Amino acid sequence: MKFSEIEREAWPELAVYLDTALLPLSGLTGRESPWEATEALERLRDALDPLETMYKGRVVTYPAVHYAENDEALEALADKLCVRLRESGFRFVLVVTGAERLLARTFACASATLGPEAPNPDVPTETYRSRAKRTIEALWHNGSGR
Amino acid sequence: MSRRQFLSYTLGGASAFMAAGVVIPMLRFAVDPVLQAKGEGTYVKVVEVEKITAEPVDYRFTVNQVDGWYESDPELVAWISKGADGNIFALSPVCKHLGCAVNWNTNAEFPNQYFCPCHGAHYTADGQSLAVAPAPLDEYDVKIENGFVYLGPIKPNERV
Repeated sequence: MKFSEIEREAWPELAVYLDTALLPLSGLTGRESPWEATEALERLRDALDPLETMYKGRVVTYPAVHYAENDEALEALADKLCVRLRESGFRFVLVVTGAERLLARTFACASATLGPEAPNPDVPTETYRSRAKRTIEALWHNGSGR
Repeated sequence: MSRRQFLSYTLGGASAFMAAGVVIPMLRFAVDPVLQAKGEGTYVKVVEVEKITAEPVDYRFTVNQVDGWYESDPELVAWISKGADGNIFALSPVCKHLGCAVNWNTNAEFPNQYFCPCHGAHYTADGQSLAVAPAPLDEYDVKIENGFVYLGPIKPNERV
């Protein structure tokens, strides 16, 4: 569920079950025109929606990180946030992005990085939904949050 | 008729006419939902009857939803199968523990059951909760018409 859906009084009880944080990265640079910014946020929404629907009772979506100096700085910031989210009690932290270029980066402190890839007509690939499902459920099954 | 009576009737009639001009539109507005014809749009055509077997299959469909001025077409999922009684029924995939989506027959420990990957709730083919969840899976209203399965609003499970 989204961070804003959880009330202060309910959190101590829910925290036992909600052990996975989603950290959304929109990957904006500040050089986008308004319509490009809209598209980037729509891609991020498309990356988050299936996860929030399938795993509403175990994941918490945190506010998104939108801007950073460059991709290296964004990677460092996201890593730092992953560490802090773990320190606050989450067992798993998933970086979710709609920006395909960020999928290739290594977020060392995240349990996994997820996001839809552009379809390649020559290579039939697994759908984003089923890849995310396989990745997340394997993480939970193995119990290793990294 | 006296002059006094004439003035009383005339003023009373004019006041009643003006009051009716205000009250009648308000009454019409208040009872409007009752006068609206019931639309057929509450049921959505999902799949042919002949495709439904005893093995539950998940079907996706969209419904038109109007919430005040905001209109949207959210995608919903239903697990549709044929029960032992021969009736077709559709279960909501939303786990009654904390709202994750359940899947059919995905956990080797619980064959031929709905299983929730979040906290291990599992259910029979009819949606009866066997562990963790406090209630059975909800059902969709089902209507069979012209060889197709139509799904309507969600209701509490009536099979268990």
